[in-house]
Amino acid sequence: SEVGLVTRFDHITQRQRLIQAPQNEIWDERLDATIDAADIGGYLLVDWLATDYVRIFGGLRLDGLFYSIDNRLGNAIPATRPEDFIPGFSRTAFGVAGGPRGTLELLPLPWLQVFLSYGRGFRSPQANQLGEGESAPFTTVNSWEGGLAMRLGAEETLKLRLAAFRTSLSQDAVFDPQEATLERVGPSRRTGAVLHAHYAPWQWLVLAGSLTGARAILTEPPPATAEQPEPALEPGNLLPFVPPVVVRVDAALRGPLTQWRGHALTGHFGLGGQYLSARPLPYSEFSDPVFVVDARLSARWRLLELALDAYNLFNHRYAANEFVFVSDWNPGAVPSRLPARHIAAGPPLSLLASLRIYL
Amino acid sequence: MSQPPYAFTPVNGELSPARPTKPWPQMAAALARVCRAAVARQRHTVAGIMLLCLTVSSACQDTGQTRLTVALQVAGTAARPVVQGPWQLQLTEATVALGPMYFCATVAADSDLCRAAQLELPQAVTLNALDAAPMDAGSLQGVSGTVQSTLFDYGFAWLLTTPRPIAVPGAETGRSAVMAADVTDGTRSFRVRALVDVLPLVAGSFAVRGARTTHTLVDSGDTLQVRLDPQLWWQGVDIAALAALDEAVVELTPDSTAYNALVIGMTSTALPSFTWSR
Repeated sequence: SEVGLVTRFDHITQRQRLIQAPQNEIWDERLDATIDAADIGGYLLVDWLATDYVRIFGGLRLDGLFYSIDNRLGNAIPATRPEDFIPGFSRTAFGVAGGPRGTLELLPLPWLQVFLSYGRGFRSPQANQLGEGESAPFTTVNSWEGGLAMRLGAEETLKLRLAAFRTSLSQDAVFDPQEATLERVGPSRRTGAVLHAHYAPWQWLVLAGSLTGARAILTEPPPATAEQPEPALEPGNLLPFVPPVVVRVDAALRGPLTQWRGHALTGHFGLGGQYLSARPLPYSEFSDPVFVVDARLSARWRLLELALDAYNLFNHRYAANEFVFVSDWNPGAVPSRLPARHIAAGPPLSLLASLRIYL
Repeated sequence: MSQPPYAFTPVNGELSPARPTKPWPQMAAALARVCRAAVARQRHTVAGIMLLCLTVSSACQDTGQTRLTVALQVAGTAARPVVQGPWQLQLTEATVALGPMYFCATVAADSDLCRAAQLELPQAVTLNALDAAPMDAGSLQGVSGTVQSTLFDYGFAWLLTTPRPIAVPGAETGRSAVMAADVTDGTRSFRVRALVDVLPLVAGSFAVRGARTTHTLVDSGDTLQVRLDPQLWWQGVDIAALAALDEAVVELTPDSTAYNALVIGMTSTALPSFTWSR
């Protein structure tokens, strides 16, 4: 058994300004806020081997979260109303979230493990969205996961893990690139499966791969807002930005290259590729799939290791993130108020050489 | 302090324990055997098919709104006399610039509440407002959803980044409206000319905010007809006061009551009508 205490304090200053080239004049301010947040939590964990074939993990976590928000641009004054009050608001909010977790493991065979887990947690709120004295609307997260884990081969050279999961959020959020913050979109559910394989046929070779398929949907419509009284998203719509398929493949080689001055010179080579399928975007659009390969080559002699890391090995031009929102890149022309596709370019081929000294 | 041998796994940059080593030639040969075995069993094919199925099944769903276009027609109203007491005003010219125009999801359309439009016409369309025949004016671009109001200008836009309103592309006369009319009471006649500039009141705003029109946009194929009636604008003009000027040609100036009456008509009391059809 284990009992623990977890604390976290954050002091956050947020500011977003719009500037106009070429003088970089500030012509609009969108965000100017200071947030103090505290999270004090405690947990109890129990690990109980009931029989030779059954093992139970269980626990409880309790968190209290406090927020103090000073939003100097909140309570904005619309153009049509008299300026008879001061913009800004100062609010505090407090709430408590409790979360039991548990795992049941069955060990019917030496090489087979069957598991079922449940956890109830929370996602901390966007502080700027809290009202004064509001019981912080913690997003409750209910997670189920069940599956099999296998260790095959004489020396357990092949490890397989197949798990299905289902996660429900009472209030999900998606990134709003215009405000550079998260916006509530309503309850959501993620259902999917993960297959992970780890294969080490020889001491010098390790292969690993994982395939994750997830279907993330809204289960209820998002709350209406002043700007969108009839929300466009409907139950069953895909959650933006969540890739339905993620694949990761890795290979690592290691072995002695030669002897130098009586000590082995050892070489390492690692290659990894990650594939993200087309991600759903707002307005029924999808981003392009992304596939990036990274590599590492290193050599170690005694206490010294020289490594060369290559990120985006094939210098693939890709969009790391894609967004659809309204923007205006020509301040001298009548702006379009329709959402347009934007990308954040992925980093090009990057080489990083490093020298390590092991003491 | 010595460290155990580690093999790099670039998944997450972590190091994982490695096993004792073998010479490189053996490694290469063994690796080739693994690859051949994998190909022989067509594992990659199965994995590829699974991946494709997952991707396709996920991509077949939507994420809310869809993009669409709506055909735009603009029309005026056939000339008819505006009668005030003994005076009869007959418009002979009414060239009007309409736009930019944005259709919003909110009932109370305001620039701040309509940052993302349902439909838009980001330029102006110039029309003969005395011609009742609908004129094709291109198409509006937009996204599906319900339109509940509109924001628009008459050929001028005041951007947040400009110190004053600017005429927008498509406003052929450089004015909001160029109008001329003949006025008579049967014994006496004179002519009225008005070069009207309808300007937004503040930067980032619109001349007309929150004009009501409701329509649900599902997909492309709808047509929107915007009809103007310039005669209604002149109903607010005191024609007798113009006659009292006793001039053969009366030019309406921005500081005149008649000019302001036209602006009020264009922005408030006699707004265009919006007719949606399939």
